[in-house]
Amino acid sequence: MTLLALDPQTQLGQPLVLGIIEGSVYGLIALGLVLLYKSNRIFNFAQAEFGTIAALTAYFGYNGSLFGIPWHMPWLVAVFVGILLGTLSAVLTERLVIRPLFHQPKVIMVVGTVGVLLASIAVEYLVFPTKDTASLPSVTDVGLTDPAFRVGFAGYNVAWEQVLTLFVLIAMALGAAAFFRYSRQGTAILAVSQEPTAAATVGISISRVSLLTWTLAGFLGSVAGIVSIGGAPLLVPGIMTGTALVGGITAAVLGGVTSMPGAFVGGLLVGLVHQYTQAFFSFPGAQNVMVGLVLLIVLLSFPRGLLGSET
Amino acid sequence: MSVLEVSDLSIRFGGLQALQDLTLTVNEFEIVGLIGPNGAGKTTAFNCITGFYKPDTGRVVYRGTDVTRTPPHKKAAMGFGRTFQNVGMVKSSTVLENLKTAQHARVRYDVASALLGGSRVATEERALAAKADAILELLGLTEVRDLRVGGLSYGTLKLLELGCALATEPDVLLLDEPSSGMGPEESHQLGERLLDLRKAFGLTMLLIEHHVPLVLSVCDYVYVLNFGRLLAEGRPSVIQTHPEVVAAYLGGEAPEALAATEETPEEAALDEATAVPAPRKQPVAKKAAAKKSPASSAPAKKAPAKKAAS
Amino acid sequence: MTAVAQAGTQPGTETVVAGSHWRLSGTGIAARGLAYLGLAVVLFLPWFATDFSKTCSLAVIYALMGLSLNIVVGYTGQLSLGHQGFLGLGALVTANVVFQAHLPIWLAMAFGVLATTAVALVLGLVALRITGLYLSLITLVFGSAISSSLFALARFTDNNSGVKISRPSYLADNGDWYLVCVAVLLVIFYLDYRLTVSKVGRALLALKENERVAEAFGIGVTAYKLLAFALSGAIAGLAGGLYAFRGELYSEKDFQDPNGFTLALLFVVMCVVGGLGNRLGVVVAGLFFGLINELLDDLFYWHAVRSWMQHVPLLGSYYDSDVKASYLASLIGALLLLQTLIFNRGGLGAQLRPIARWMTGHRFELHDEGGSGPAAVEGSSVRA
Repeated sequence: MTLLALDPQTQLGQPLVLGIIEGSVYGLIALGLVLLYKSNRIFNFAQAEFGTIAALTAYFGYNGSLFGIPWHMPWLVAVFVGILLGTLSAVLTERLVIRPLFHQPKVIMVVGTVGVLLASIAVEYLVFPTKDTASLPSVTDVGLTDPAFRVGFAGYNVAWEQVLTLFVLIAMALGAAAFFRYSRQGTAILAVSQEPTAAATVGISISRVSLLTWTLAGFLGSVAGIVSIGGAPLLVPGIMTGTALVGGITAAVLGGVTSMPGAFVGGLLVGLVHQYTQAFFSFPGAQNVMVGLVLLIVLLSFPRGLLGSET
Repeated sequence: MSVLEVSDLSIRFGGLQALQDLTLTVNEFEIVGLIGPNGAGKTTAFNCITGFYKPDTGRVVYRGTDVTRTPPHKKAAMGFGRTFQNVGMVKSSTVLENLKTAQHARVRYDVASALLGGSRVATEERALAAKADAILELLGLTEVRDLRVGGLSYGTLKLLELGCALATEPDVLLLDEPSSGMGPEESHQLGERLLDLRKAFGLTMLLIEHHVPLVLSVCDYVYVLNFGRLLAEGRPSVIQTHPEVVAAYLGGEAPEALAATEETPEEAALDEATAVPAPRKQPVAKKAAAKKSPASSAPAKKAPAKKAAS
Repeated sequence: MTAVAQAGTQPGTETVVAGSHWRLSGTGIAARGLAYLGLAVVLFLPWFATDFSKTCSLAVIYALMGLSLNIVVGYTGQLSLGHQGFLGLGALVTANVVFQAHLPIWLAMAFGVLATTAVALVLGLVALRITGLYLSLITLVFGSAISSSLFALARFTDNNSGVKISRPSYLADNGDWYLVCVAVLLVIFYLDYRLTVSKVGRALLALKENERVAEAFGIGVTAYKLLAFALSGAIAGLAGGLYAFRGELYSEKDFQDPNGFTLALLFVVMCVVGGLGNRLGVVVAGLFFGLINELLDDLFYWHAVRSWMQHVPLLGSYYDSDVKASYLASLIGALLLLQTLIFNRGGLGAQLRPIARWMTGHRFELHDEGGSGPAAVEGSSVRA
C-alpha cells in the first residue's frame, strides 16, 4: 500500500486511483458500522481500532518480539493471526460491554464503545512496545507480488499491490452482500434488525445474532486495518482511529447509516474528496475541513443520507 | 366574543390528507368539544391550532390576532394551555418541579439574574412553589407533591397534566382526551371539575374526548370530525341524534355511549327544549347570560394566582 | 380522591420527609464549618509547591472542561466528541491576542471566551437541525477539523514555533495561577448551581426529555438549546485561556489528533464517571483525571517500583521501553467509564450525594430517594 507515498505527478488519475483505494477502506469500516447500526442502533466508535489491533498483532507476529519471544511467523500467517485477534476483540466487546448495556439508552451504549476505544488504545500501548518505528510490510515488500508491475491508468501507473488491494476490498464488499442475501445467518441478522420482536417469536436468538454481527464487524474492521496499514511507514497504537474512523463514520452517514451499498458509495465519496482536496488545496487540515463540509451539507439537505431509506 | 377562530385549516402528510378545511369557533367561556372516530384528525387539529404543525392552508385567529405561524412556546405565553394524549410531563422530575416548569413563561426574572441569583429570584421561586401548591390543593393532589412523576398512576397523571396546563395561566385550554384512563365515576368528577375550573379561572376550553357522556354533559357546542373533515357541528343534543354522526361511529363503542346519555334526565330535558336545530348565536347568548358570574368576575382570574403568591 | 388513593399505593413512591422537621444543632454547624475549612485548606495546599501547583492547575482546568461538557451531555442529552476544539480555540485566541495585540491578560481571556461562545453558537445552530448520533459525529469532525486547520495556521502559531506568552509579574508564580484557576472554578461551579435551580435548568431538563411538552409550557427550544451551547462554549473558552497562561505557551499539538482526540474522549469519560448531569461528581472526576497522570508518573519513577518491575517476567521487558504512565491512566479511565456505565450509573456524584447533602445542612443519610433537582439525570436520550 502506498497511500502516503505520492508520486510527483499531479494528473487527475492519481487522486482518482488513490481516492478509490482509500475510499474502499472507509467503505469497509462503514460497512461494519452499518451492520452494527442495524443490529444495535448505535455507532461503534471502536470500529476502526479493531484494525489497529489486527495490524499491530500481524506486525509483531511477523518480525517483532512479543512477551520476550521472537515469533517470526510467515507473513500470511501473521496477517491471519492479526485478523483473528482483531475479530476476537470485537467479540469481547460485544460480550463484556454491549451485552450488559443491551437495555440501556442508546447514548450509554455509544459511550460504552468510546470506553472500548480508549481501553484498546491504552492496552495497545502497554502490550506492544513500539519504541522503534514499527511498520507492517505490504504484499510487495514480502515478495508476494512483483514490484515492477504497473498498469497505466489516466496518466497514473497503478502498482500491482494497489490492484490487489482494490480487489480484496471489492471482494469483501461483494462477499458481505452475498452473505446477507443468501446465507441463513445473514438473513437472520437482517430480520432482527428490521423486526426484533417478530424475529424473536420465530425462534431467532437475538443474543446469537448480536454476537454474529459483532464478529462480522470485527472481521471487516480488521481486514480494513491490515489493508490500510500494510506498507504504510508508521504503525502506532490508535493509528486506524486517527486516520480512518472519521472517514468511516462519515461514509456510513453519507450512505444513510442503514444501507450497505450506501456505505461503500459513501466511502468512495469520502476517499475521493480527500484525495482531490489534497491535490488542489494546500492549507493545513484541508482534507478534514472538506469532509466536514460535505458531511454538513449532506446532513442538512438529505437528513437520511444519500441512499438511506429506513427512518 | 370569539376567543379562537379557525378557518379552512388543511394539512397533508405525504399522501394523507389529515385535515381538510376545518373551520371552528370557540367563544369566550365556552367549552367546545371536538369528537370523532380514531384517526379522524382531532389531535392533528390540536397540533395545528397550538402551532406544533404548520398547516398548509387556513388561519388560526386568537382574539383578533392571526397566530397561524406563531411557534407553540409563544402561543403558550399568549395563553394557550394544552395537554397531550399521552401525558405530557417531565417524567424524571417531581410533581412540584413540573408545576414550576409549567410556569416558565410567567417567571419574572431573566436568564442573567437566574444565573447570578439574589433575593428577587429567590422570592419569585418561592412564589412559583406557592402557586404550584395552590394548584395541587385545588386538585386535591397535595400528597404527591414531592414524588417523581414517573411512578404515578395514569389517572393521577392526567389530572396533574391538567394542573400543569393550569399553571401556565391559560386563557384558552386545549385538552386532549382528559378522561382517558379514568373510569365512569372519575370522568364524571372530571366533568364537574372542568365546569368548576371554568368558573374559577374564567377559562375557555376546547376538548378532544372519546367519552361521549362527558362531552354531552360539559360541552356547549360540539364539532364532529371524520377522515379529516368536519362531519357535523351543533349543540350536544343535536349532535347526539345526528344520523351521519351515528353512522360514523357505527362499529365503535360510541353508539351505546351516545344512547347512554339518556340516563341523565337533566340533559334529556334540555334536549327537548332545543330539539329544533338552533343557530349558534342563540345558545351562546343564553350561555353568556347564564355565565354572567365568571364573565363579571374576570378579574377573579388573577385572584387565585395572587392569593397563592402571597 | 380515588386518583390520590391510587397514587399513594404505588410502590416505591414514599414521600420525602428528610430534613423537613429537623434543625441543625450548634455542633452540627461547627462540624460543617470545620469541614468547609478543611476543604479550603486542601484546595490551598498546592499553592506552596510550585511544580505540583502547575499540575493542579491542569486538574482544575479539566474540572472546568467537565462542567462545560456536562452542560451539553448532562443537561441537553447530546454527546459532544469535539470539546477539545473549544479548549484549543480559547487558548489560541487568548494567546494570540496577548502575543500579537499586546492586550492585558484579562481582556485577552475575554476575547477567548467570546470566540468560543460564537463558535459554540454556530454548533448550537447545527444542533437545532441535527441531533443524537449525527450530532456527535458532527462534533467529532468539528474537533478534528478545527484543530488540524485553524489551530495550525502559521499566523496563529508564530510560524509553527508555538506562541510564547507570559503572565503578569504579580501572577508569575505557578501557585498564584493555580489560585486563579480555583477561583474561576468556584465561580463557574456557583453559576452552574444557579442554572440548575432556576427556570433555566428546568427548561433544559424539559427540553431534553420532551421538546413538545417543553414548548407547551412556553419554553423556546431554539433559545434554550443555543443558550446551553453558548454557556458550554464560554466555559471551555475560559478554560482555554487558563490553559494558555498555565504553560505560558500555545502549541497546537496539544489539541491536534491524536492528543486532541484522546482529550475529547477524556472529557467524556470525566462526565460519565462523575455522573451525567452531576456537577460535583464531574468536578471531582475532572480533578482526578487531571492529577492521575502525574501521580502515576511519580509512581513509575519511584525507585522501588522500578526495580521490582524489572523482575516481573513479562512486564520487565517493557518497563525500559516507552511505556508511559499516561497510557496506564487512560486504561484506568476507560475501565472506570465502563464500570460506571455497567454497574453504577449514577457515577461518582451518586456516591458523593450523602456527603454533599450533609455539607449543605441536611441530615447525613446514605439512602436518599428525594433530591431530584433538574440535575438528577437518569440516562439521557440521543435520537438518531
